[in-house]
Amino acid sequence: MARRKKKKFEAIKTDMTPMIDVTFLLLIFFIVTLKFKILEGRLDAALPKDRGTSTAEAVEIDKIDMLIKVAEPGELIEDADNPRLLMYEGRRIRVEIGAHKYYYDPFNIEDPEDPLPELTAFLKDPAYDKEETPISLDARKGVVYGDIVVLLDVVIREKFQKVSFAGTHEQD
Amino acid sequence: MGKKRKEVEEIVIDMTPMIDMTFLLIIFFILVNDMSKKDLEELKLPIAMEAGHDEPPERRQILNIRWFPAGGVPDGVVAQYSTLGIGIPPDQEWSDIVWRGQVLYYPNIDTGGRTDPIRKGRADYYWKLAQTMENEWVPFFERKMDKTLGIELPDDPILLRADRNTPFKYLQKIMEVCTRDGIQIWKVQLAASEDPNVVAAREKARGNQ
Repeated sequence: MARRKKKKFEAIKTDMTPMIDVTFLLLIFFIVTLKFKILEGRLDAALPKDRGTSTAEAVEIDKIDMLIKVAEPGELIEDADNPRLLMYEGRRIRVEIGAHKYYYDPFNIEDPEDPLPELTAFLKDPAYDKEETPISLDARKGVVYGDIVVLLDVVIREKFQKVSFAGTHEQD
Repeated sequence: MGKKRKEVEEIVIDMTPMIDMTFLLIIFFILVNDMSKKDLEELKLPIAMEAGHDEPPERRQILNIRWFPAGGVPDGVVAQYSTLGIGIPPDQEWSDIVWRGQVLYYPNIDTGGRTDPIRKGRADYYWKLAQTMENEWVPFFERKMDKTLGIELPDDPILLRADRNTPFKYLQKIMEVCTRDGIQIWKVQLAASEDPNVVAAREKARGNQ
């Protein structure tokens, strides 16, 4: 009797095993769900505020209408860097501003700091008040998101404040 | 001799430092884990130099546009739609709009007889998106008076995210929905990645100054 009692006093120990198990499960959960911060940015634009609601007559102002068309659609291929992704090869996009025409390949840009030197030169024209001149991007059939972002990038770099988009001409 | 016997009896590993370490690791991962990424679908964004670093505004809503060429729909997406009872035809391109993991548009969406309020007479395939904007977004957006129009407009932006291959017409459609009566969201942001080479070059240049 006495011997048994003494042993009981000596051996008061919590069993740590379940706690460690749970702790490791938690640890593994958080490691697995971890997503590292992605470098993600954004380009700001605005939509016409009054479309479909206002009947007021449009005021004639100096504006830049960019018409974006696909000159050569190119071929949809797998990206050499990552076979899960797709990209276009041999694509050519034409931007029309009045009679001016500019060409570029959005998936193969030589100088990312200045993808469209001729268009940049055109936009640098001091005749345009960059804070007030509206630019409208009118994308036509077949144009993809990547094509527009290159162009929007150039426009925003030239500090134009009023950038908007035209509606689609395609069926659903 | 007696001493040696005692040593054999008391081999006990002290678990305390290990548990401490494990808890520290857990706390680290909890803190690092950014739950705000849950609204973002996995997409390959196009690269833009001027992509301002994105600090998400409080009430901004995010729409993800997914697009797959005909025959190129991943198995995971096919499985996702089959649970909804929708079969994706193998010879058709597929696109959808996802908000918080919820599909708001897909090509064969049932219109329930609704017509497009802007393009009269056409079926309205974007009614679910329009409804979500009108009922769940716009009421919570801040409103500001527009001086030239004389009406109050929602002043919070939405962010559109798409693969670089996504036809732009899907984004244009969303923008059209934004301009509908009762919605009138006019601030739109397009997501783009920053070029990793340029970011590295800029940081290097900053270091040299």
